[in-house]
This record gives sequence, C-alpha cells and structure tokens, in this order.
Amino acid sequence: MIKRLFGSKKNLTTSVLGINQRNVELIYKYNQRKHYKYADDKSETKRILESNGLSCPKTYALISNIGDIESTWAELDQHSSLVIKPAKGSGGGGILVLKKVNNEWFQGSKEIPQTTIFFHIANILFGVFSFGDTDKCIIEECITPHPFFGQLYPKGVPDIRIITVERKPVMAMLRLPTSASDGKANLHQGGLGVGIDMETGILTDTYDGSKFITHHPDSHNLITGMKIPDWDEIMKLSTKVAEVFPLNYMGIDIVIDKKMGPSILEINVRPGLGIQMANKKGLKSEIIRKLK
Amino acid sequence: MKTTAYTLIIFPLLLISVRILMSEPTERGLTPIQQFEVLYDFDIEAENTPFAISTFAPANTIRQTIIPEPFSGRTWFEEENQKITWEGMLDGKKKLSYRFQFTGKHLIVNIDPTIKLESQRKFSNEKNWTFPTHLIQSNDDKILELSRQLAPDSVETLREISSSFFEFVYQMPSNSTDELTDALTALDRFEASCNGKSRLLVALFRSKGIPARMVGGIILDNSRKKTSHGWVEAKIGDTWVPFDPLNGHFAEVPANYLELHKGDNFLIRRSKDISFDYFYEISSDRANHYPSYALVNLWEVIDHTDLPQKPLTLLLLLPLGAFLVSVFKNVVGLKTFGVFLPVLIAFAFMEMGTIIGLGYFSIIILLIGLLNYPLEKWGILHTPKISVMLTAVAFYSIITLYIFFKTGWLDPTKALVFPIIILTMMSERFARKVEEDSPKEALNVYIQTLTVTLVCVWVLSSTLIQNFLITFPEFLFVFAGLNLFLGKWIGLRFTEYARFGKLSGVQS
Repeated sequence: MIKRLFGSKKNLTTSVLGINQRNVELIYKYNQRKHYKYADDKSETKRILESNGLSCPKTYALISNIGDIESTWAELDQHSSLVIKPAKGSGGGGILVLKKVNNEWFQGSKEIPQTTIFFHIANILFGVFSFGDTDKCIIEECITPHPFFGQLYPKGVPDIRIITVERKPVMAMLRLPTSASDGKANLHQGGLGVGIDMETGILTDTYDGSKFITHHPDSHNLITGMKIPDWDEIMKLSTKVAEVFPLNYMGIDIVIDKKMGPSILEINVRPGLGIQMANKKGLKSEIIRKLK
Repeated sequence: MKTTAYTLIIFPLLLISVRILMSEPTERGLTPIQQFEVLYDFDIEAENTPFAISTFAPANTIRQTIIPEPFSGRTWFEEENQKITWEGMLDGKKKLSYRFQFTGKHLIVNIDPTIKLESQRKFSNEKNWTFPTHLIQSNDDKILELSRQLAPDSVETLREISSSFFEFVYQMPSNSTDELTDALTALDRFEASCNGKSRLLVALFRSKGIPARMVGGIILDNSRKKTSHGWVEAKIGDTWVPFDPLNGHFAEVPANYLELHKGDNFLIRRSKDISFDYFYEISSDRANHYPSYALVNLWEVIDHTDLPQKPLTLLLLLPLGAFLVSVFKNVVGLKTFGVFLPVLIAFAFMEMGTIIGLGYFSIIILLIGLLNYPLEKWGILHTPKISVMLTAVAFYSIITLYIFFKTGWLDPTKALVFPIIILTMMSERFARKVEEDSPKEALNVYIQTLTVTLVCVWVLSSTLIQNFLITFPEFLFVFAGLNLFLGKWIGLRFTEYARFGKLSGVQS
C-alpha cells in the first residue's frame, strides 16, 4: 500500500505533500472524475448523505427554475432562519444567511427586502457564483454553532476539515473565522487554521497564514489546549461519510450544531494543503502512518 | 507511459542527428543561407540591324558564389570585371537571357581602429582609385571644404574618418531617382539616390587620398524588377571595406547583395538603334535546410508555396511556449491565467513591441479593476458585466491606438486584431479573478502571468530557436515527451518550499 502510494523511497525523505503529488498520487489515483459531482454539487452531496441517514443541515427547498422562486419562497414562511446557497458555489461565494425579526428578513443587522432575496436566488440560478454554469439554489436550515466555539470567537460558523484517505481520517483542522475573514472560515480569506490531535480532539497550534499563535487575534481567547466536543462522534461520522462516497481521498467539512451535534456541511475532492501548516505535520508521513 | 515519453523524446532526436550527419556541409547551419536564382531577361527588337549588348556577369568573390548556366553570348574581361556580350544581326524580336545561381554571405569588416591616414597614403598602391573623375569631383573646392569639416586634421584614424563621412552621406535625405547624379550635384541638392550618395562618399574618401570605388549590383529578393543598386568600397589597410550609404550598412554588406562590377560603370551597354527592354527575374530558396531524410521540409514549403512563414513560426513556437508555462506552473509554482494565455500574450507583445504592449495592457487591467467596483455594487450579472468591461476596453483601445499611431510608437502596418483579441481575453480572465477572489489576488496572478509572459517573449523571440524549429519540426514531439514526464513529476514546487518551509524542522 505504502509503496503503491509513494512510489520510490526518495520521496519519503520529505513528509510534506505538494500540489503535484496530491494531484498525481491522490486525486487522480483515488478519485474518478465522474464522481467529482458528488462533491462539486452540494445538492448531490446532501442527497447521498440524507439517503444514508447521515446528519447534515435539513434541506428546506431546492430551486432549479426561476418560475419556482416565488411559490417556493411562500412555503418557507414558517422558518425563522435559513441559509440560501448555490449548489455549485465555491469559497463561500453567494451564501446568504437570513434571520426573521418581526416578520422581516435580516442579514446580520441589515434588512433584506423580499425582492432582493428573489434577485439573489435568480443570480444563483443564472450561474453567477458557479461561473457561467447554470446552477441550483439550496435553501437549508441555519446552523447555530455549539457554545464551545463561542468561547473561542463568537462570530461566524467555524467548521472542522477532516482529510480521509481510503476511508480513514488522517488529519484534521478547525477553521475559525476572524474579523478579517468576514465570518467565513476559509484559510485564504483570512480565517485561522487550528491543528487537532486526532486521538483526543484537543486543539494544538493555530496558523494565521504567516505565523503560529495560541490565542484568537480578535477575541484574545486561548485556543491551544481546548478540546473539541463530541470528538469521537465526529471521527465516526467522517468514517461513515468516507464509506458512502466513492471518493477515496477527500476533505469533509463538519459543523457542530447546538442541537443537532456534528453535521456534514460539504465534502471536497481537492482539499487544500494548508492543513499541514495548522498541524505542523506533513500529510505524506501522516497518510503512511495511518494506513500502515 | 514512460515508454511513450522516451519514444517521443529519443526518436525525434535520432532523426535530427541523422539529418545533421547526412547533410552536406553547405546544407547545414541554422542561420538561413539564401540561394538565389537570377535571370537577366532582355528583349530586343529591330529590323535588319546589327546589334551588340554588353553587361556584367558576376564573379566569385570571398562573399559570393556564382554558378552560371550556359548562354548564347561570349564572356570577356574588362579590367577587374567580367563581362558578357551578345552581338549579331537582328531582324524582328529576340530574347536574350543569362541565368545563374547566387549564394552570398553577410560580410562585416572590423576596421582596425589603429590605422592612421598617414600610413595609408604611404603604402597605398591603388592610384587608380584616388583620382577625381567628371562624376566624382574629389578635387572640387566644395567637396574639399566638406571633407575638411567632417574630418579635420585632428581626426587621424581611418576608422573615425570613414565613420564621419559615412554618417554625413547616410543622414542626407534619400530619393529614388533613376537619373545619374554626380557627387557635386548630390551635395548641392542635398538629396540623392544610391548612385549619387555613393559618388559623394567616394569623392570624400578620395579627397583625403583614400582609395575608394563604386560597386554596382542588385539587391536580391523574390521579385521581377529593373532596379539595380550601387554602394561603395574604400581601401583601409589591406582591405576593401564596403559601405552602403543609402541603406545604412557601415563596413558591411548583407547576404543578398549581388555584386556585378567594380567602378563607376553603366550596367548595360547596347547599340542605340534597337528597341530594348529588360528585367531581372529573381527567386530565392533557402540553401541550408538539412534536406536529407527530412520528413517535412518546412523551408521548402515556405519557399515554394503561399504558406506564409509567420503564422507557421507561431504555431511551431506554441508548444515550446506551453512547455515553458508548464515548467513555471508545476516546477516553480507560479500562478497564471490559463495555460496558453501567457504564450498568446507573448505573441501579442512580440507583435506590438514589449514596452508598448505592456503599457497598453496594464492600463486595460487597471480599467477593469476600477470598473469592477461599481458593477459589483450594482449586482450586475456575470456575462453582461464582462460585456460592459469589454466595451470599455474597446473604447480605450481605439483612443490608445490612435495615439500610438499618431506618435509613431506603433508601426501602422502591424496587424493588431490578433494582439487585441488576446489582450481582451486576458482582461476577461482578470475580471473573473477580481470577482472570484479579490482585486489584490487578481493583481498578484496578473504579475505572475506577466513574469511568465516576459520569459516567453525573451525565449520565443530568438531567431535561432525559431529557425531551429522550422528546420527540425520533429522536435515538437520532444516537448510532448518532456511534458509527459513533467505531468508525472511529483516534487514540491519552489513556492511550496517557501510555503511549507516552517515545517521542515518539525518533521521526522
């Protein structure tokens, strides 16, 4: 197995996984292109998760046609909060988180009129956030992060990225929003990457893109040493997710909801390599160790 | 995979080696050696009249090789020149022809900067080439005065003197008159064609006692024409050094200059009482194209069909450019807009000129970056948004190109549609990146794309590389083979060493 994965011994001298090697020896070798759609189209991801009884934010509606926007929206009136997102979006683009106050919809403290919401959904369907490709619009349950995350930084939705190879979790990272990342947890948008001890779920080092830190830069709360709740369940959930998708190398994004507990947000066939910085470990050596 | 890659690399290299080994020495070399076929095509007509027509037949020299074909006249010598003559009785129309092959070398003479005028006078035995004639009035006061002005006694070396004379005559305005202009008339009018300028330059040399003479010939190109050309030789040290004061060749003669005679002669002499018309019919072929075992001989294709060389060259350069880009992306780790785009932008810059292209283009990028703000604020859909940006680009281009042509920064004959389309494509990608990521990230990728582009411009502009690929198009397979290896190369990219550098100490 190890030999098949990393051909020659010479490559073992370095433990860090680079983009070339990730593409050639993990993505191309482990994932068939026809299966990419399970990750690239979030409505497909959710369909598989739901049919296997795996926890993910509840889908309120899936809109494919402009003509359905108004009638579908009318049925959503009962909900007091929801998320509107493009099925094929990337990097968090096009996501609208709405909360209802006094029968009006708000994004944060900004009131959003119904016409703006309809226009946004139409934009999603036109493919504005999936670059020319026509898209579907997912309207789903709004996640309320577990109070644990409030102790670290009270804004945005943090998520846990887990890399699995051959259905085994090999490396994990907590992605924390900052004021610079505008509520998003993506590393290249200014979020923080926090390494996680795979056995215990204890947070190790935090990488802010240029240096390692121990406290959150905005809230100044201690990160290092904190223990993620429900860690065993998260590990089990990610193993199950890896079993139901035909992708042998992927990144699973998990959120912990206050009520639902660990829940799958999305999966990724091309997970980034920054996770190595957060964990101060090379992915290559971890994969070899975990799959031994 | 490996077998395929090795085959793609080794077989073309073997074929290239065989072609090099099996070709004659004269067929080798990457710098083109043009071989010309020249035909004197004379038409004469008269009724029952004796006639004689004489002209010059080129001779072999150190820089030109002539292979004549048999002809109906006779060959003879007049001083240092070889002449041919047809004579006899003419009744009706008659065609006279003389055909030969010409191969020339580009000759550059390095004038020894230590030779002084004094020593030249002492040792020169070329008395014939120092006297004034009625067309080369080297003893005229005006010429002598000009000579003193251009080269006062303080200027001692022949290199400086010839340079000063040459520059003066070269900078004088040119015309294309056919009429015979003597040295003095050329100076008085301060305007002359090749023969007037040449006589003036010869007169200036002779005014200092430096042996100098006219040289007559034809500039060879693919054409049928009447125009002949004249230039100058001056004896400096032991060497006759060439100067073309019309076309600005100082101490050099281009490879396509056919030399026919030395001295101030008429090219053709004929009996007065016959009607006469003439043409020089010239066709060119590349002589050194490694013809042995050439599966596809592109030089032959270029010479013998209407296939233009430029687009062919661009097609051959495309795989090399794409290979360079893949090295930059996968080995160095630079991010670029698209795979082919840096190569195509390089082509655009090669057409427009790098500085002009870079300036023109950077303003487009700035324009798009600025336009993105209002368009994003108004929530304009992607495709109409890009269209608005391209409208702005088109408008800006019209203004800029107008300015460029007005100021003469751009050659108006350049076909600019192709560069503009490429640069527009690039600006669309830039706009997309601004939207997808941020203006900062887009600028970052733009700078990296330009870096790769400038390297491409530098490599792809090389005439040597272009000639190599036209001569050995099979080398393209080598790029394919190298790309296969590159596609399986899994080492860290240079930029990743920087990115993950902090980890190296932590690792087992």
